[in-house]
Amino acid sequence: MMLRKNPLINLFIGSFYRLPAPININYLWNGGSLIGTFMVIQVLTGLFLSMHYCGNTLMAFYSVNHIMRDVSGGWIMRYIHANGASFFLAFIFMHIGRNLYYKTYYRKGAWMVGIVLLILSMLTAFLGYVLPWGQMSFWGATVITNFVTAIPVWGETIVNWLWGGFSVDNPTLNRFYTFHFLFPFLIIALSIVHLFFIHQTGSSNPLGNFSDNMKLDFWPYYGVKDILGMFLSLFFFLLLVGFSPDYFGDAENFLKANPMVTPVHIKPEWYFLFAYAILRCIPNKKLGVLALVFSIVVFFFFIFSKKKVLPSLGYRLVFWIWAMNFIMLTWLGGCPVKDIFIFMAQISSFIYFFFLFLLMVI
Amino acid sequence: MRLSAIRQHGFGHLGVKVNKQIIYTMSAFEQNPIKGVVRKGFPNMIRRTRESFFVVAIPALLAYMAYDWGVTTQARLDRKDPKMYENDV
Repeated sequence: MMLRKNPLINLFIGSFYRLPAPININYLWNGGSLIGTFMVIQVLTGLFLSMHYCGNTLMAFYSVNHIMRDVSGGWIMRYIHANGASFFLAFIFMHIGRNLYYKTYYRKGAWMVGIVLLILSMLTAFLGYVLPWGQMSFWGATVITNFVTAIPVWGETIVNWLWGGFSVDNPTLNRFYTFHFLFPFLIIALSIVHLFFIHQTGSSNPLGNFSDNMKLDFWPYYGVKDILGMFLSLFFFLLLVGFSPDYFGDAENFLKANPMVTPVHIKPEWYFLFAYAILRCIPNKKLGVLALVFSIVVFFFFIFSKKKVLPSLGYRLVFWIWAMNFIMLTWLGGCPVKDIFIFMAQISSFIYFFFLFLLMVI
Repeated sequence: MRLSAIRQHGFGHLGVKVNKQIIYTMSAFEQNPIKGVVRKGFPNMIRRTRESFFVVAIPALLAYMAYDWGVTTQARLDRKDPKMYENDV
């Protein structure tokens, strides 16, 4: 009882130890804690990498090589950080997918903050990918930052301001390093706001019904379940890091950035491929950029859909068609620019937006 | 998010006002954490899979068919047509 008088301990007890959680939440509700786990892993490994990394075009690529070859444990820090980003975003996609499936976007505050977190995470991942200053880092940065020129009238001025010059060069790398260091702290702060919103009502549950009379204490039930989820995901994560750490990497990034040599196939990491496919399939540059931005911004519109109702069979079928289409868009984003793949990407992009609209209205 | 609610009730007690709490417990000697995990769990897994199977499998099959068509069509377009060279000496 004396412990409960201390406001910090009371906060810990109220929001973790004795937090009321619905009795029937399944393993898909592990997503939040898994994202948090990988957030901590990324911050810690990133901290160690930043002790040896040099954010200058003359040194960046060689400093990463130095980390890999000379720094004690540097290779595993780098591989954990690079693959950790993949797992971090994979769990974010799973988390958003679960919220779409169980229609928990009726909680407007948590949903809006969550989409902002998605945008910040994708931005952070993009900034981080530029830092090794390999071929794909440089050319990926060039392609993505050039989208800003689609802004009418001021596009060129804004992109030159963003670059700190007339192309992606040292000032760009330097400021990308600064923002890649800063944004995770914004993500952590917004995650706390996200939790504030969720803890106002408590977690949702798979049946979508009122669960205030069917609660369990978070600890030990969901605490231990979350720890199990962490162990399982860390097992697969360390399998990847230990046996195939370059699986999600691109061979072009083993070459130092060369502004005079454009890679044959410029493509981003897998978590951006769905948006990349949508961008590439539209012949008009401005419309392509608009579609790319709208593919993420569209999620904000879910707050206008009608209040939650248990997902019907039709809703579930639409969801799974959309989800399989999302996987296909991801595959198409990695395909070379050939007629058949562009045609398929155009159909898939239409299905992406149309079926998201259906999810909002069904 | 209302800051007044957080200050009034405290983080973790932000929801409804709790009037009564009914706590169900069992003796630790009566608890078996893996009780029924095969006898009840396996049939439940079969039931849940059957209920969702077609809703997941049909879109997956359609997506795979589209992927297969795309890959084979592109492979065909990348090659010369053997029929054009049938009568070559």
